[in-house]
Amino acid sequence: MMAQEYKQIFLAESQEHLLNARTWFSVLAGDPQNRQVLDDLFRCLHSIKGMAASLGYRRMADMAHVMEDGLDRLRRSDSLPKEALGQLYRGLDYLDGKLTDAAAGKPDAADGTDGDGSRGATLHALVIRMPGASCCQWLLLLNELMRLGNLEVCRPDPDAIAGGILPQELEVELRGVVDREQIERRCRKIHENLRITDRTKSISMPALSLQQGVGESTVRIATQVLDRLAGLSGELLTVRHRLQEALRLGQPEAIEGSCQQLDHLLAVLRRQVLDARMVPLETITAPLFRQVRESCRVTGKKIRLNLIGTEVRLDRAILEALSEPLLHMVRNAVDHGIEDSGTITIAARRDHDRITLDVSDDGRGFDMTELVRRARQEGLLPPSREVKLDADQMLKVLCLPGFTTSAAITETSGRGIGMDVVRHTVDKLGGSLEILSGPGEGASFRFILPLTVAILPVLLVESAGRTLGLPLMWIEKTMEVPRQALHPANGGYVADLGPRQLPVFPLAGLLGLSPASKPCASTVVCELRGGHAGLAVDTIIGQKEVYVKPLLFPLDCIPGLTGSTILGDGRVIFLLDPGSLLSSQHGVVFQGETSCI
Amino acid sequence: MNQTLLLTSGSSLFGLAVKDVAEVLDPRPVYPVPRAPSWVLGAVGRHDRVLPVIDLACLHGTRQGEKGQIVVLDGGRLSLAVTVVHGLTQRGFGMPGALHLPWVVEMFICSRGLAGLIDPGALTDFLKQSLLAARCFFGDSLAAWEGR
Repeated sequence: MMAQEYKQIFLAESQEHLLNARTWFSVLAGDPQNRQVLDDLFRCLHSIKGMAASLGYRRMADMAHVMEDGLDRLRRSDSLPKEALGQLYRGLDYLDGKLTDAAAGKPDAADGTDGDGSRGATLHALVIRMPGASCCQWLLLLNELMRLGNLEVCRPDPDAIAGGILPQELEVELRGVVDREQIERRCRKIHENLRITDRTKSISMPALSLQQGVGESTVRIATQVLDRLAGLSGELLTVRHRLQEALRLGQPEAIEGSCQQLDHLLAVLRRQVLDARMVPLETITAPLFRQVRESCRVTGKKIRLNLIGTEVRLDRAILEALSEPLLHMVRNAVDHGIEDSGTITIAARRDHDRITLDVSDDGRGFDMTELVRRARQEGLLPPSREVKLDADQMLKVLCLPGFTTSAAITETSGRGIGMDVVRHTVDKLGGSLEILSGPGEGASFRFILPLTVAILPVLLVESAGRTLGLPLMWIEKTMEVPRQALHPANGGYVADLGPRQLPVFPLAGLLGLSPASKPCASTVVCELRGGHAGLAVDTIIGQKEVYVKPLLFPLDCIPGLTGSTILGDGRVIFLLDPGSLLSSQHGVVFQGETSCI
Repeated sequence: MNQTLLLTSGSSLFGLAVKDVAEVLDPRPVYPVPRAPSWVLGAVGRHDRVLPVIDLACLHGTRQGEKGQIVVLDGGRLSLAVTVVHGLTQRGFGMPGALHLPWVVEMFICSRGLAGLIDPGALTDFLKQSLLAARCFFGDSLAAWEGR
């Protein structure tokens, strides 16, 4: 395996182990005598140590080793002092930081990862037998070998041994500046009947050099999923043969049957592939504990981070994009929301084809007077008029580039860049951002996001001769409204729907197109989810699941567009974000070129 | 070494260094992009991408003529609609670029006359600045905010 590929696996697996370790630590804090959790923690750290050592990340391996020792002492003392827990948390943060450095390709002089660490080292290929040894002894042996050098090959895998599968013999390739005798002497201390034989004599192998930086992001996929994908490819081949045969023989019924089967298999394949892209939300929320702890340490505040429902799974692309905005919001809550002590809550739940993510704190919330005052001070609001901001307008002001109500700029927030980034990211993902809290209620934001950005169910509509796609996640229902029930109002219409009234905006108008000139007795209206507004279109073509193509520059700068797709006939269709369209057309607009929203 | 793709946009001659060109596409439907600035002619499907097409004539203020071909820039993320692609030429003596077109970095003489060498990086920067200035197009005026 290429060193770079191995590094990718190391990074992905270590992140997962760290994530698990944090979970186990939080359990252990409440139940220090939980033997099972201690063992699980031990395995996590052991796996990180093994992989880090084999790749030459000596500092990471050492830290994991120290933490293992600490855990071992705790296991024997059956208690978990608060200081020990704090030290272990700091250890995890250290590992987290080193992993981030490794992912960014930062060289570390203390690590062997700059390619020089193994210079002058010898590779020993050994077979080690320890008849009757326990799991603990095998693990101690591995520890000892890792202390002696880089364990480049280990069969069976250390994880398997840590999981309780004990080998008859251990095959290792150890690179280090030690000789064969030293290895034997050190290892024999673990088991007196230990026997070491050379598989080959010292081999001169090129040093394991790692390229700096990480290429494309990776997703770990269970082998069962890969097996299912392989099975599906086989089935697709069989159907193709059947189809070819039916075509050769000119059997329309058989062709029809094969096409149906093909449809079914493609649907299954798509589902499987999408499933493989899904990653739990906790992958990006767990590191926030560290952020909060670090901020508390600096500011002296007492803040609790409460995560609810973060096991929900989202598309990896969404998670990657969401990581930075979440960090911004947590930083804002710590620095400006909560004064002395409080709780930040991140609650996620799946709602059919979308995820609702609430980020809230019980701090002082938004100071509306200050918000309006600062908006005026920045020249973002007219100075004379009495202005009362509702939640939507408040969000728009908060998300203005460079806007901040914070007088103090800390190391991490208060520069007015956070909420702008948050809003932009959510728009690009085809999601929405709302403020839930009112004045004096703390700050509470709601993200609504699609589960996946790869394939989206959309409603194809026609407006002013253009075919356009509206993601179904935004559509409540479609209806036909008689012309006489539409009354002009404030640049759009109000539809009189009996018990209620619905603001309706012609889609053609929002897109800057000339509406169709033909007179219609009725108007087709797509009511947006939540029932806040409707879009009038010329025709509804129907629903379709489309593969979303990302927008390239400069199309990605156009408000209201969320993606594009290519239909079966080759036509390029643009997908719209109704919320962004409406807000950019009918939202708050201020003076000055760069402050328009 | 100085191989340049020579092309006409409207009635002006331009050149693109061969290293900056990925492909020349045959005429094909260009799909309009809603709410796009006037210099975005539309988008085309190319392989697995939806590729933006920039109207070069619009950028240098010429009347929008018939767009014959599409030149895909290196990296395959942006393309230019041009009137005609003439082919390759050897770029000889060059002079500093046209002052009014910041994305033309050099003027050079070829068999068809005086041509401007396009720098894709400068062109992208120019488009970004144009978009920033055009942000006001996407919203209402202050009057709308005040409910007039």
